[in-house]
Amino acid sequence: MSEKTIFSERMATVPARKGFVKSLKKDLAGWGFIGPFMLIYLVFLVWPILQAIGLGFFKIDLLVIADRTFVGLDNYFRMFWGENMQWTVVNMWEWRLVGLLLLVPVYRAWRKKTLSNLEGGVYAALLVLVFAVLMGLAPGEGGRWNDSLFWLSFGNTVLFVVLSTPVIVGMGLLLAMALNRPGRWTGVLRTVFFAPYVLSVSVLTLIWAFLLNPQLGLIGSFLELIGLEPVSFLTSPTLAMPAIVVATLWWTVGFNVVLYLAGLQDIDKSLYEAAEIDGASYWQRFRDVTWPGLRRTTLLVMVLQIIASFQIFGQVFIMTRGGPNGATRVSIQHIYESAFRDFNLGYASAMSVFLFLVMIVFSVLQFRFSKDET
Amino acid sequence: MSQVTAKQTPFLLKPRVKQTLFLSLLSVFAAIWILPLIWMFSLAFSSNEALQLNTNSLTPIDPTVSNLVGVIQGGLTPRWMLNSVIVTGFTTLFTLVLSAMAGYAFARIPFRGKKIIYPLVLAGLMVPREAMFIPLFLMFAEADYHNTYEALMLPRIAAPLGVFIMTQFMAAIPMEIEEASRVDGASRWRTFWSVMMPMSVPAMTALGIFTYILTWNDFLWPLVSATQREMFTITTGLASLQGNFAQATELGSLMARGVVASLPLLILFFIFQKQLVRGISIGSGGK
Amino acid sequence: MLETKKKMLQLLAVGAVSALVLSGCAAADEDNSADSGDTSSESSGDTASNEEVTIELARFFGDCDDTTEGVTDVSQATSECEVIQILTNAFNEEDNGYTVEKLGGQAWGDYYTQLGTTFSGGNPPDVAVMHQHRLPDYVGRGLLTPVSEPLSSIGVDWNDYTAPALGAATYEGEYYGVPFDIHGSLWHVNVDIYEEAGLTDADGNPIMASSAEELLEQCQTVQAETGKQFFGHDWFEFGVGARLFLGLVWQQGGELSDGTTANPDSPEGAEALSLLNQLASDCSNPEQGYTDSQASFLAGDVAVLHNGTWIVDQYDRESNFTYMATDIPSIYGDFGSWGDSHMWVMPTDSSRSAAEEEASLAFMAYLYENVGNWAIGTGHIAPRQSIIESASYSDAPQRDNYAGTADKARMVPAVPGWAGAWDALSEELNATWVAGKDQAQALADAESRMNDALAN
Repeated sequence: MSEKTIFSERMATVPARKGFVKSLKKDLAGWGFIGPFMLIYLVFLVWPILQAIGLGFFKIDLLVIADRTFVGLDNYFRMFWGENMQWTVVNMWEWRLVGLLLLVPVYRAWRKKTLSNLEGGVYAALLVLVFAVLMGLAPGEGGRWNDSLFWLSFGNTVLFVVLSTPVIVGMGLLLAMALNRPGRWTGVLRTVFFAPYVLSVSVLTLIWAFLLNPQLGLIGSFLELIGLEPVSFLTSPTLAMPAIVVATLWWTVGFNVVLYLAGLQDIDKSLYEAAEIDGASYWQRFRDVTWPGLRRTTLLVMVLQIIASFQIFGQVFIMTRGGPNGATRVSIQHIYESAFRDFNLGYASAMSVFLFLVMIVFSVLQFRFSKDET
Repeated sequence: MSQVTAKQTPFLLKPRVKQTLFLSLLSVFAAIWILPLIWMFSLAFSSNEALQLNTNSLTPIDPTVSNLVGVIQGGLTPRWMLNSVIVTGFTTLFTLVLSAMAGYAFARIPFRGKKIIYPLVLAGLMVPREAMFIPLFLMFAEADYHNTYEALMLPRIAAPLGVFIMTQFMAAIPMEIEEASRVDGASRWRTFWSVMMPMSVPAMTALGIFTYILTWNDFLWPLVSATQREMFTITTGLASLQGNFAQATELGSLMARGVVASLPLLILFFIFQKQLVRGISIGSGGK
Repeated sequence: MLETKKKMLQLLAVGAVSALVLSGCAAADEDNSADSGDTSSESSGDTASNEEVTIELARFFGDCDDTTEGVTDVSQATSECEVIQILTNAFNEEDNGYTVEKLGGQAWGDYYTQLGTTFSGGNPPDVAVMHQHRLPDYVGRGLLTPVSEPLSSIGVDWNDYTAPALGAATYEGEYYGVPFDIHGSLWHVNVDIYEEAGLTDADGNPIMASSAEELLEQCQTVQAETGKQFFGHDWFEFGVGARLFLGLVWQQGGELSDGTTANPDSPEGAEALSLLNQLASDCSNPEQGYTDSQASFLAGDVAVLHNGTWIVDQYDRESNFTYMATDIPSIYGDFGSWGDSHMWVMPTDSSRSAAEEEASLAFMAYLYENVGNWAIGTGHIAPRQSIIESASYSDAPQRDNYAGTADKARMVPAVPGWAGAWDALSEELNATWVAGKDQAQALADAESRMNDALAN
């Protein structure tokens, strides 16, 4: 699989062996060179993953970490189950329907035998199917989730992903197309749109918490200027999350612009010339040349954006602390609070594993998209 | 639509007018985009008293540098800056050296086990960092190693992105260059150090600047690991000042801290913008 | 096991460490009080010469080194932070052979995270501040050392403490902390607005409502007569609404907890929540948080601000209208108002030397001596009888006006896991006025969520 990328024709091929000693020397050299990194990698990346899985089966008290009780699946039971659980067709039917509808094109592709990766397609379809069935489960009359906050925060995280991805990716594409022309001034403009990306999250929140403040902020004054009431965005249950999305857009769109600009550079210029000769309009050129040419970039940018959005934490933690009314509480905040406020490291670990599994699906996709190229 | 009409009435100036119009519009938009940043700078140079009355100026009101001087003289902000510089600097350095070494081995040395180990390292690219902080926290807590620079650096150094970038880059360096050095009798280490490393400077600058920015902006891990105020990084330190009861009366000082926290990065960004862009493109598998 | 893990990490970090020695020294030079990053091996070098015993103090109340450096005269303090910092400076200045080094100093929101981390690292501070409602979480795990005996022997007179204060420090018959104050909710009143609305008595004192109807009537009168907002407080940031809710439940003779579970979903709870919502919709601006509501009050735009004892002296200084701090009115007959206590505790640490323990106890006894300075410098209620009766205490601004709170203050229930339960209650209550959530549903949800938090 992945070796293809790296072990290209430029790579050293294993030379004819001139004896045991020589190959041993190579082994030693190789291991010596990768040794320092591998040690840190294994201890601080691989081992924690294995640990997270193990810890999820224990009750571990933050204040007395040596004290561990094996509790089996209790933590997962607390996450996924509740009182009076019932399976109904109507629960969250909109989402489940969307999921099932996604299966239609896959099925059609399979029938037409155009499915490039049959195995992957089947697995994906099965996964969607399983979820569509499982999502029918919910607490019935008088029942409740064992940990309703887990679902609230996961729901908010998904909401953030769903709101932010199209906005930040779309804006990135528009800006990249606008900025994809030579000239010094365009270079300056690129710098302007990219600059916020280098700020840290606490600078972002410092600026935006005040920017959005109805009394102190520029946005409030602007609304007053055009004769509207200043809105208290961050304390409104309906507007808080969109406000966070806008702040995040300002902060990170530059990243997507960079990737899209690189993608635009790769499109064969002669295709545009040909389209021009054919008298294609701007829109036609976009539809027939630009958009197809950016297919791979778009997939990559989307997946990267989804992964980044799932990990949202700093913005809401500093600006709203998950409020108002839990409207911006996200998964990582729930994990953080379970561990450090409620002292429950085992449960926090179990939730980490869940989030990990959700994100790894998208990471695998990213891996595939970025691999395809080379 | 307008494109079509332009075609029908060939008029020499038209495309240029359109171009100018388009750029002007884009410039206005860019001006709005940069406004929040200008606002922060403007507030940082305004006196706290003036800001009690008006916070909507894009130029400093009652201009003063006392806020900035206050940041440098008092409180923990200088200490946090120092922490950030140390942690970020060494993380970048170690990432570069360790990645280059591993990258060289993966790209050029045919050792046994490579075909198993390299995919294992690549698989690490898929690990979402923010989901791993609980086991990492526990690990460092067991060793009583929180609130140290090492705790802040090691998990970040373990990220395999650098190895991936360096392997790709070094694999693309012509074999002949290395062979010439080997024929001269240079050891592997010497070849790596005095031939391959200098050849890799472009990739390493890109990786370095990218790593620097990501590390400087780390939030969740420093928040969890460095809980003593003296060990905060500027990113978590600045966060700890927000949501504080006193903030509304000291807006100028707060914004001055924001300016101090972002200036090093903004300056680096203006110098190394090209390299950063490159770093992003390679780092995310875009190019 | 732990040791080998530590060794392993050390080995791994060896490159980094050696490189950091230089920078660490530079950091220590620049700031003497800050250690070079490794808490376990700190400051053995520069304090060895004069044989000072150094102890670590963990506290919140904020960071005010800028304004207190070198200051040892507590009468100059103008805030909670300055009082405790100046007291610490003065203790260090004394020729007692002890040095107190401050760990942290954050706003209270993040404090317990930091404290928890020190315990999990097996390296807790020598003295720490703690709210009484957190005590069961730590004592129940055997993490705090009882101090009844050792402190008695060095001059702490437990009998001088008021009953609520002593109750706060007690766990299974032992005292686990030195109560520093009792703090509670007060009504901060702009008397000028009351007067303008004709709601003052013959002496010019504001008339406090004695029923829910009267309260809402006063609200209508104030708003009609003056055009000003009647009531203000932090509606969503720091759980202030839940504090008033608890007080109002108590006023009706209700309870929020039986010591193990919580029951906000009671007739008393429903009545209290309904009144709060009427205040929110008719008499206040529920979009205001802590800072906004305070700013409105200080600007003279609000008749009553519901906030704590800790801010009395500051308001007394900064308000440019006739300011009065007073007990929460007894709207449902009984007196009832949220209260808590800041206490100094000594975490259990087997690695603490006898000398360090002695120093820690000496510092706690010193803080006991200075309870009066704390109460007078901030507005908190003194937890000791002798202080309450002293002239300097009653001479301090406003204190007579909220003597009722001092007398009858009740503490928020001390139940293991209360912090999470309180957050849940607070969120559910806030949802009613911020998001219009159904009140009965909010109380039912609050009850189940609180009990989840207490059970786990």
